[in-house]
Amino acid sequence: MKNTEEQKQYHILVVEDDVPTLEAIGHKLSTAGFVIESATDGQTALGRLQGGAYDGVLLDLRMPVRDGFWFLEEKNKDPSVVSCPVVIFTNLAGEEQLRRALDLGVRGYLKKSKHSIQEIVDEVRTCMETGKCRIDY
Amino acid sequence: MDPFLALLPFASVSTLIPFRSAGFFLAGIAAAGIGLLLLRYTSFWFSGTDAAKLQKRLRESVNLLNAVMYSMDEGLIVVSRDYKIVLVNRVAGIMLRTAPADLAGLDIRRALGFVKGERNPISFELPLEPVIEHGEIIILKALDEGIYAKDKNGKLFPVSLFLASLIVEGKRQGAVITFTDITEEKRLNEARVSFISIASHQLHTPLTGIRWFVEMLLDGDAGALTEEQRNFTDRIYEGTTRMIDLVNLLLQIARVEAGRVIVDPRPLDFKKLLEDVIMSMKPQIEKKKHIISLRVSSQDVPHVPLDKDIMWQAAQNLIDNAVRYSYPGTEIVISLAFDAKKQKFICSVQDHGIGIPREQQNRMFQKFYRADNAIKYVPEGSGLGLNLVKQLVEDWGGAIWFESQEGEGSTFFFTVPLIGMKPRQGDVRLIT
Repeated sequence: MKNTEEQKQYHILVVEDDVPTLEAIGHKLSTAGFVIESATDGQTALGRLQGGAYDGVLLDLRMPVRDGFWFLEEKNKDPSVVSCPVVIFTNLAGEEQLRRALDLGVRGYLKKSKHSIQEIVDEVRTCMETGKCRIDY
Repeated sequence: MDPFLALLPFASVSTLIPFRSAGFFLAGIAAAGIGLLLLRYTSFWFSGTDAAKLQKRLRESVNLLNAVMYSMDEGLIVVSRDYKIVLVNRVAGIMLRTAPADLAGLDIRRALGFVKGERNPISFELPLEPVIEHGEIIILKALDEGIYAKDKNGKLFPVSLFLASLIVEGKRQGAVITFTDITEEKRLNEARVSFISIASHQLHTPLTGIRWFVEMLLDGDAGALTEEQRNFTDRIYEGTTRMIDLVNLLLQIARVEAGRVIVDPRPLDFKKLLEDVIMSMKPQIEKKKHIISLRVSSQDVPHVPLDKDIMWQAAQNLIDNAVRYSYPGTEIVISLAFDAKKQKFICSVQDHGIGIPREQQNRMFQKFYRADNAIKYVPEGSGLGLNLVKQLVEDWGGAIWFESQEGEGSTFFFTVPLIGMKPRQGDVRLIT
């Protein structure tokens, strides 16, 4: 178990529409010392992002109402939040989606099916701490 | 003048354009047209009845060919050597929303517009020069090429094109273009592609959730587990992993079948790839105490342009099968031979395992099919691996087959042509 007092507490906004997945990743990130807030669609997420101070966003792509791409486009228009790093976590396969996300300025791109939950948490931590964020091709 | 001469163009043209029926018909029409011209200018050389008979025969030919042109399902356009539209059939006119007569005599390069690419369409010129000047035959399948024709109103529709040279009496006289509107085909393909994409997400989502919660249980995130709890949870995890693997395999097959998979061929050290695959399977190999032998027929194995993921998947599937269906402690021999004469590689994977019963051998490449002894020996197999490998192999122009004896073992063979794989754009990699 990591000593969470020594580490900076990163505030992460987790955006995911599937409740079990959100619960799992939320629980694991909290246990690992992250401060988590969540949203289940792009619209709510944008509101949260603009209203708070986050170190990063863990973003799903396929969501109802407004999806991850919409969120990214809107975020990029807002100078107050444009620079907040985003790590995509998705099950969407496809070069098109990856390219589009990278064009919209995401730092990391994780394919959920490729990683254990601990690996996801580790990747988020590495991304926040070092700026080196994994891209799953 | 021998009346037979008038029919000679007909015969010579039909032998010189062997390919498509449209080309033949068109050639026939052109020949009949020339025949008619010959008739008009030479008829005074014949006796009255000869000329009348010839005229009748030619008129019948022309009528027949006109009827065929009218009933044809494809659009047909003929251009002369100087790119002037000479002939347009009814269907072409319908597709282009123009009366065929309105196009007659126009330069095709100005009269018709084509574009390439869906998202950012750029103007596309039909490659008529190599066809007209050099007798090339060019086939442009729209699902691959993304070519659209413009109708009179400027509306785009996707087309599949066929261009061939028009040769009359041994001389190049222009080009024959046949084309079909493949809007329906495209729509079906897009529906299939989007189904795969949605299904992919839908299936993966609950599976990811289950997997992650089980991992958290095993990590002790909900408290320490008793031995029995751990044992049960391990079983759940195994089941989940099997389901995830099965879904991934199904999706791979679906992608391959939909033609979505990117083929990115680069010069590949085939021998090294096989070594890497074997290395990646070390745990399973050691567990069953197998001896793996890799035999390469000659030291100088050329580096052929191959897509690494696709090659990996094919080789890995066959070697994995060999390991799984082998009796413990037996030898598995992987051979790589280069047949210079036939311009291909032959790779084989030989095991000394359960083999395949003779009466079940003919179904081995069917989806989900598993031989009875295989089901007993390896209960968790999916029955999809060989189907995928067969599709991959045939996609790259190779052949796959096997020899097997129940209780003794199997040897699977596949070939790779020396020219390697052709690149394909696709939108997803095979291994994601």
